[in-house]
This record gives sequence, C-alpha cells and structure tokens, in this order.
Amino acid sequence: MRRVLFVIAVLTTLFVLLAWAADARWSNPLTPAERLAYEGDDFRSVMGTATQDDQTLRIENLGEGSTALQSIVLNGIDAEQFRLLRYRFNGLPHTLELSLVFRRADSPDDVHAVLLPWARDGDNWFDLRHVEEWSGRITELGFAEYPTPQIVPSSQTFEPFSLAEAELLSPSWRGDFAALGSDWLGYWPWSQRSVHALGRDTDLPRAESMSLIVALALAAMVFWAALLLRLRGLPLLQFCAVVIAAGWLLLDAHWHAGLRWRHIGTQAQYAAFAWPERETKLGDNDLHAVARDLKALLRDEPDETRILVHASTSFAQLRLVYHLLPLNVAVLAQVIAATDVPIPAGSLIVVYDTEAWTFDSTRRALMADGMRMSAEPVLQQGKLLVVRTRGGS
Amino acid sequence: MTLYYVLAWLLPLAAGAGICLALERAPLAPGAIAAALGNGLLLGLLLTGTLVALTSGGDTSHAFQRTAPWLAVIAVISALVVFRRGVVASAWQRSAERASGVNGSSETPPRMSAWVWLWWLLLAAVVVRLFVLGSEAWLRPTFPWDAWSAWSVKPKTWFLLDHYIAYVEPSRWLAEPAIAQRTSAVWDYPESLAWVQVWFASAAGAWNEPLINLAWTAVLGAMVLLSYGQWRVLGIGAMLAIVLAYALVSLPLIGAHTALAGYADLWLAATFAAAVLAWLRWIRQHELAQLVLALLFALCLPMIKLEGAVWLFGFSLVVVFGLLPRRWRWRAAALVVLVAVIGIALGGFLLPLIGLGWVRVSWGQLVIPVLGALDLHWRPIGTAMLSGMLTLPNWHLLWYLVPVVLIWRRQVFARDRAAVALGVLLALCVMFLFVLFFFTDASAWAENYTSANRLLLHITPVVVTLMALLLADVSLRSRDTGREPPAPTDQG
Repeated sequence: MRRVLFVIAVLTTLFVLLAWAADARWSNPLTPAERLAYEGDDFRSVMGTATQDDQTLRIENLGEGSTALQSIVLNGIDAEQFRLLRYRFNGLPHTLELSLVFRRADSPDDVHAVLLPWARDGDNWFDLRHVEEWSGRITELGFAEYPTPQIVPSSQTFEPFSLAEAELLSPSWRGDFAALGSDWLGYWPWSQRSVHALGRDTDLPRAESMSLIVALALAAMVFWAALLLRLRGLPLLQFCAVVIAAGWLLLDAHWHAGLRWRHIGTQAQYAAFAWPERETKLGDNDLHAVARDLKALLRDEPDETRILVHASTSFAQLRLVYHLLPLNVAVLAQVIAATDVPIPAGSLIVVYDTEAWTFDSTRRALMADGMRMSAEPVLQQGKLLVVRTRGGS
Repeated sequence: MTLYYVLAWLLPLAAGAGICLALERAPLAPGAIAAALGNGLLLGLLLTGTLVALTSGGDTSHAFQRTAPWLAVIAVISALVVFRRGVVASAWQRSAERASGVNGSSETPPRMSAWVWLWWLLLAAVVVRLFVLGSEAWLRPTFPWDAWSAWSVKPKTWFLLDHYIAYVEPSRWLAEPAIAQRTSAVWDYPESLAWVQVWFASAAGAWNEPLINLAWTAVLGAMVLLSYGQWRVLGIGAMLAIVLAYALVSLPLIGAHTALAGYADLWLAATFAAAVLAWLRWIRQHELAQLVLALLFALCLPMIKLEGAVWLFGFSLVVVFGLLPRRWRWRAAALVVLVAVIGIALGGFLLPLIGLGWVRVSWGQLVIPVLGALDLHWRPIGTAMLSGMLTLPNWHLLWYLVPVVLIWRRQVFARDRAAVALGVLLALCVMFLFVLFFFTDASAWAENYTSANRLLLHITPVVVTLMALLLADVSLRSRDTGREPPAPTDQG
C-alpha cells in the first residue's frame, strides 16, 4: 500500500511540476477547442523559389539576402485566441535557422519576427504567449529560413526541404505540454553566448528551466520516499544516489543530444574541406574575402605602417582585424578611445560598410560624424574605403 | 596530419609525465599513473609554451624544431630518473603480482562485478564525450568572440610574421610610429597560451585553427585524468572517483569551452585543479615533491589569465597558513585581518599580486593597475547569479548538490585536515567572486551572463574535489554484506 501511495505521490508531483513548467491553466480544455490548419502548399513563396508538391511546399532555393520566406494571408485572426503554433518541416538542413514572421492589422507595414527552435522532422510546437508582439489581429503569417548568422556563410550549399504544415491552436493542456516538450528538447545552434551561459542563445522568453524542474522532482521523490516508504539511513542514501544519478543522466543525455545535433551541422559545413578551404566556409566569409584582397593590396607596405580599421559593427571590425593579421592593424575606435595621441601621418584607415564615413575629394579628407581627417585616397571600391593620413587627426 | 604534429603531442606528454613520474614515490599508489599522465600532459604543454617563448622568438615558424630537442632531453632525463628510482619496476611488479593472484587475490580470475561494469561504462562515457567534443573542435575554425579577438591575436601575428613582436598600449603604438610594434585592446594579456598555440601551428606547418584548438580537448582530458588519479592517490574509491570524473566532463559549460575552443578559462580551471590536488597530497601524505608540483602549477596561473593572479594569491595565503604551526594560525589570521583593517582605516594599502601589479585596497574602492578603479558598493544581482548556476543548463545539478553535500557531510571538516584546508581555500575564492560580482561593476558580467559562469568554471574542478573528499567514506553497501566497490586495476 505504501508503495502504491508513493507511486501516486511521485506521479502527482511530476504532473504538477510539469504543468507549472508548461504554464498550463486549469481552465483550459484537454485538447484545443479551435484550430486553424494550413497545408504547406497553402503558403506562397515570397523569397526564394518553391514548388507545390503533394500538399507540401518544397523550397528549392534561397532568395534575396540568402533567405527563403513563405507566407499566408490571414483574415485578421485573434492572437489571444490562437497562441499555440504547431509546425512541421521535412528535411530542414542543420545549417539553416528558422523564424516565424507575422504582420498585425494595427501596423501592416511592420514585419515581426520570432526565432524558433530548429524544426526536426515531425511536429514542433511553440508557445506564442510570451511573445510581446503576438497581440491584436494577425493578418499574415510566414516562416523564414536563412543560414545561421555568424556561423554559416551565405554561400553554403543549399539542400531543398519542405514546409509540410502549420497550425494555430487555442490553448489546451495537450498544446501546453507539447510546447514545453519542444522548448526543452528544441535544438539551438552554437552562438557567441554559448561559452558564457548555455540556454541564453536567444533573448526569447523560455519555459521554466528543465534543470530546476528535475531538481525539484528529485527533491520531491526523496521527500516522498522518506515520508511514505519510511526509508532511513542506508536505504534512503541508496535511493538518493539512484535518483540523483538518474536526474543527472537525464540532463546529460539532453545536453549530449544537442551536442550531437550541433556537430552534424558542423560536419555538414566543414567536414568535406581541408584547412585552407575551411577558413573560407566561415559565417563571415565576406569579411574574409575583403581582408584577403586588402592583404594583397597592402603587401608592400612597411611593417611600421599603422592600419586602423572601422566598420559598421564591432563584430565586423574585430573580424577584419583578425583576418588582416599579421599586418600592423588595430581597431580605430578602440585606439581613439584609449589615447589622445594623434594618428601618425602615413597611417592607413580602412573603412568598411559604413555609409557615414566618406572621403571628401575636394577637401582631401576623410569625413565622419563631425570628424575630419586629412587623407589621400588609396582605394575606394564598393563598401571598402582605404585612405592614408596626411597629418594628425 | 604530419609526424611533427603527432610529435607535438607526444613530446610535451613525455616530458611532463616523465617529470611527474620522477616526482612519484615507489611503490606507486593506486591512481598515481593516471595522475602523472594527466598532470604530465598539462605541465608538458605549459612547459612547452615557456620553452617556445625562450627559444623561438626569432623564428616562430620553426618553433617545433627549436623546442622539440629540449623537450626530448627533458623526457629522456626524467625517464632515466624514473627507471633509476624503480618507479616503473615497482608498478610492473605489482601488476605482475596481481596477474598471478599474489597479495590476496583469489586464484581463479574474479568475475566482473556490476560495480566493475559500471566503472568501465562510466569510463566509456568519459571517452565518448571527449571524442565528441574533440570532433567538434577538430572541424571548426576558431569561433568564440574573445578567442579570435583576444587570445589568438598575438600567436597568429607571431606565427605568420615568423618572429615575436611586442604588443604595446595604443598610446605608445601611435607615439612611436617608426617602431614596428603592435597594439590591441588586450595587449597586456598573459602570453603563455599564445606560445602553446605557436607550438602547434609550427608543428602543423600552418596557422591551422582546428589543429591548434585540439589542445583544449587535451586539457579537458588532462584535467579529468589528473583529477581521477589524484583522487585515487588521496584515498578516494575507484567508483566514486570515476563517477565524479564523469560528472566533471559532463558539465555543459566545460563541454562548450572544449568544443568552442579558444578561451583561457578551461586552462585556468585545469591548472588550478592540478595545483590544489598536488597540494592536498602534500597535506595528506607529506610528499614534498607534490608541494613543489603544486607551486609550479600555481605559479603558472597568472601566466595563463589575469584572474589567475587572484587564485594564486588565495592559494598562497592558504598554503602559507597551512605551513604555520597550528597554534599560530588563528593569531596570524587575526593579524592579517587587523593589518588590513588598520590599512583601510589609514586610507588604504598596497597589495602586490603577481600578474596584476600593486593593487590598492581602500574603503569603497579597489584600484587594479590593469583594470582601473573599481568602486565598491552593493549590486543586487543575486537572481542573475542563481539563474546562471541553477536554472540555465550550464552545470546540470552541480550547484544544487554542493550545498546539500556540504551540510550533510559537515562533520568531515572536523576530522580531515585536507578538507578543512580546501574548504578555506574555496571560501576565499567564493568571497572574491562575491565581492567582484556583488560589489563592483563586474556585476554587469553577471547580469548579462557573460563572465560570471566562466569565473565559476575556474573553481569548479576544485569544488568537485571537495565533494570527493567529503563523500570519500560514504558507502552505498551495508557494512556486513559487502566491501567498497573494487578498482578495476590497482593503478586505476
């Protein structure tokens, strides 16, 4: 009898914890009361090329900005009523990131985008309740796929995939639990944050932490074992060891599965290439190419020549500096912020992809944000501008 | 993969393991070989970095050819010492005795018990994880931000230029345009790892990032191996040791630092763990050689990363206190506190920290030469800190279990000198992190989840070691029905 009670208590605790994690409401029905279901071929291709194929939409190429976008026009559906999304893709490559995009009736010109976990084959669920922009009347819904930023280059070989179906559902227990499952077991690619804090790969609000729920579940199991099974001393210790090991293994299996998934993406991207080529398969291969051309241009510069780089983002300027090594190169903004010493005459200023920085040929000066630097042009090509300073800054 | 690249792994291992084995006493204790191999690989890599810096500054592309002979000589000399002292012979003899059933073994080969199967299963899990992490590092060019914007800048420059060139502060770089020096936002970062990277690049014959970054997988392997080995030598059972070794290698943030190689934090964690474990052996078994090894590793800390200076300071403080006669310790501690209080009351005092320079400590402010002035006042970042430790998937259940074990096994502190010493060291480390995150602008690192977990990573292997000491004599079998699970091998 005690064992039966123990099993009931543990199952009830697990259910309550999972319901809390899923933010399930007692008033919700078991299954969704209302559904809006769309086959893949209900969507039209807005960016990229796609063909209809047996009720699915087969995406055959990325379009402008290395993005594929499929959307469907809706009749102003109520966001509050439909806050669960179920979506299914077949064969989505590991190298692509997926976003949900939508428009609202109150701001038809604004496109809102929400990053989704990578879609494995089969059903994937997403709880839109925590997405602030998901409100009012939704007039258009779509999916965007593009190479994972900072990881996969736009030139990555494209593999076709299909959008099979999508569904918007009203709240239900089944939907809440399914969304929790997708949230916990969803795959996210490596990001720059991965070495700082895993699980912070996006700014998206997430469900309750899996670690926390597992820890609470283990604590509850030990409590029920001590109370109902009256375990004490060594048997209780053995029980603790078993449940802690099980909890740890569960979390580790989850981490390992994510690791394997990321590794498949890495293999797809790099495994076929040897080192010198691998370097050209980086997510920032455009910057790598710019740096390669610059290195060729500056190959006869004396080693003493200071080269200062400015670009539109910190990432771009630091990556350019790294790719330009071993040239005598530094980030212009960092150097200016660190010292008042003027930039010596004869230094090279490399400006990439910033419209605010221009060379004024009449004044023979580099102009930017109220700053003027006497300089001679060395190269002006596309997004790239290189000048040589004539006097102090 | 060239012969040079293979030798670039074998030579540091041979030199480092040779030194560590030469420091071992015969007969070898269970775990001593694992400890020597783990410590040896780490020590060998750090030694290699130092030798490359000394021998190859003018010809970095041939760093391998210039440094390899030195490592070979060290390996040969230490091997001679090891053989002369009979370390290998004693290990061989014990192994032979075990095989022939002498020394209490049963005459028929024992059946593989469930515990032994479990031991092998956990070892396999450790190896599989290392393999998966290594595969990722082996395919991927350097990815994380600070890896390419800070830690790889100097070695890439030196290697591609084919010679060392000084990195100076930006003002000097601009003021001395005729000198071919370099600058960077992190011009003053320690250079030990940079030289290790030059070593592997030279052996690979190119600035081949994946081949260089495999060193991080090796460091994780070394950390796990040395921890397992030293725990065994300290008397921890084989089963508990392998469980904790698996726990250590399974921690996601440690895995992320291995797969996305390039940050110095993993090296710092491994080196701090190596220093602390050797020191614990000295406390428990009075092996002077282990104290020397501990000090060697500890002195490497600030040469790896600036934070290493703080860990070295805390470590030195606790080691020195441990050396004092027992009756003087409290007086010395009180004296240190008193001097600090008087110093602050008089307007502040200067504290020399290797790697950080003269740190000025005053009421409400810390001035660290390489970081600038840090204003001290309370920052409420407890939620972010707890979130990083408990709810984000960085540490599995580690930080839930640590307080539970500390409270449950608190009586161990009353009888185990090593546990007390380690507890005091970790208390100092935690106090430093507490002041850093709750009282300085570094709180932003906790709030935006950038550095807080990485600093915790530095002390995590040492925390696991404290868990090992506290749980050492916990048995999951009743005393009248069974023994502690046996080790699969005596050296295991």
